Amino acid sequence: MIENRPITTFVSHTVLILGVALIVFPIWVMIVASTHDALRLTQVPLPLLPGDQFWINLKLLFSGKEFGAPIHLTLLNSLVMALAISFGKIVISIISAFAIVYFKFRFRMFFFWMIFLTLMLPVEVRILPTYEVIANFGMLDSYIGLSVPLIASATATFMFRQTFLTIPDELMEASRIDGASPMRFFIDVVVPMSRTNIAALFVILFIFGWNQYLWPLLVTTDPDMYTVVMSIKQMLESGESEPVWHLIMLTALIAMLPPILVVIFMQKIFVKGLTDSEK
Amino acid sequence: MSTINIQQLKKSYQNTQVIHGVDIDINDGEFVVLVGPSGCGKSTLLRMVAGLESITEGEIKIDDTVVNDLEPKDRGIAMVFQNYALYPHMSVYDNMAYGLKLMKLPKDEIEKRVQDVAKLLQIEEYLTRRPSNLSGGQRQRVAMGRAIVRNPKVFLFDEPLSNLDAKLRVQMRMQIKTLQNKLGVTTIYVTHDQVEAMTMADKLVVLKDGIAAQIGTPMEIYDDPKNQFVAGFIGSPSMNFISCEVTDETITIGEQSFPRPASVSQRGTLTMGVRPEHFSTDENNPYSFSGTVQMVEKLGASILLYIHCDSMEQPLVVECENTVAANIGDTFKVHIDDKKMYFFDAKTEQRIY
Repeated sequence: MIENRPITTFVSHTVLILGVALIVFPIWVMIVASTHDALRLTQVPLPLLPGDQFWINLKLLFSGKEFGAPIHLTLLNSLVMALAISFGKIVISIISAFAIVYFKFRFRMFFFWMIFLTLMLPVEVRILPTYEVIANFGMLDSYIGLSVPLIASATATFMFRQTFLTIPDELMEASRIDGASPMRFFIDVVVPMSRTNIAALFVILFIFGWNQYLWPLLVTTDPDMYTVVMSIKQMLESGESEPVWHLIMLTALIAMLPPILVVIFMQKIFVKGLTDSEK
Repeated sequence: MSTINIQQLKKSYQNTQVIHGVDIDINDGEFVVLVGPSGCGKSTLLRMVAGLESITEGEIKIDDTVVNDLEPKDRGIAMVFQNYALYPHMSVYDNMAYGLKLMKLPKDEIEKRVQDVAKLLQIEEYLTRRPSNLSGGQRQRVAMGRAIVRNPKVFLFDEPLSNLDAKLRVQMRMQIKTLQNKLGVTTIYVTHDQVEAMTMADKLVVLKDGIAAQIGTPMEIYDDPKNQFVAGFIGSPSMNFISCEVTDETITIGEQSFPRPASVSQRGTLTMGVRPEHFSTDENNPYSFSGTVQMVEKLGASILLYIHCDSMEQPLVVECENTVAANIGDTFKVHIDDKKMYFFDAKTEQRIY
């Protein structure tokens, strides 16, 4: 739309600026809070300009003194969990989507609908039985226990199925004539053709994995296995003492960075993956 | 270098049979065109030869080996698809080399073969490009290159030209034919375009509803169609069909009666067929009709007149020289050349004379 109406322009800018302010202000408070010491944050009014304690706070966090595990451990746990979940989900769902789309077998549609139905079941619904299973396998406090139950994904399977349906059948036939086995076709044609979708899914799933809260809270009891997101909550409840707001905010700030980086670096390919239709 | 024998080939999907026993023998190096209206089973037939569709009944032999249960890659065939089916994420070179890589040929052999074929098809400069950066005609050539590079015993073409514009189609038609001649590879070509069929085929197979209505050279089929369907399908514009009543002395069309041609011995209701290009200008010809011109199509080299005669339901299509002056609404007299008449049984639609 190309229009030249000053009032419309003014109104739309105001709305946009307000929206941005609404989102940015809490983040600004978080950044500011992470640069002061504990004492300053208990005084009113809250500081709105950055202080000089940032590096000291950062050092404190990495030392792991005062509370739980040092932040690099929890960050690593989060990273491992998020990566395991995203890779696991992508690998499993792309293969099951491939089976559903390209092979004719009994109960094919039944399996598809079974997978599709689980779309409606969020993790929280099946969390108790899942916990039971993981506990009985002795997988508590381990990376496997953290990631495996979250790997099954109906959404990703469904997305890949839709992508595969847009790949013309002739490509499969051409590769059959070229002498490609089904798995060769999968690796040489299907996977490369869905790479933008894979990237888009990776972004979504990485953030999904990184932000997991309830599940890690249940399966980890050892502070060394805590993820960064849940460690924020743990810090709030650290015994009788006052919450260490400056460290909590800094942790929150650091926990925010990886998803942001992933989005920034994969944004182009992400958008392409969701809108792509150059087949 | 090979022959193909198709014997009593049948195909059913669940309860519907789409191919009802087709027999075709194809000689070494022959260019066979399967032609027919949509839904006649021509693509299915081709895909059965390719091994992409299973065979319900019957046999397909390539070089006297029954290939019914062989995988497509083991049949020694190569196929060009209607939408080309190039791998969009691979360069032209990789598209052509993919099959060879899977055959586990040595690298320099692949390189040499691809380069040779690229030279043959004049696509050398595109080898590093992606298919999406090529025009339709170039993609078409790459698809053919991918087929040729495999050194197949048989080429299969599934309506390869239907996505091209008219001018390019004519060019590619010639190129494919020339190339096939040069390589001498047995070829099966599917099309619904009867001009393509006529111009390219050594042997033409006209299919209708899963049956081979007629097999022969293009000229045989044009001159001597076996039934009304083939007569109407081959030839452009298509043949005029006129219902007529034959008695001992006369042949009656609508209100008009003419002497019975000597060759017609069957009596009763017949269908007479006349090709638009077979009307004569001979004023003394007894088989003449007059009617009003409904429509004039000027093709340049010739003019098509659609003439409505009272005695016929359908307008007669007449092809005449471009010097003929006729306007819509004019009364026009046409003469049927009695040596170029076809007669079909009205019920069985088989040609009788």
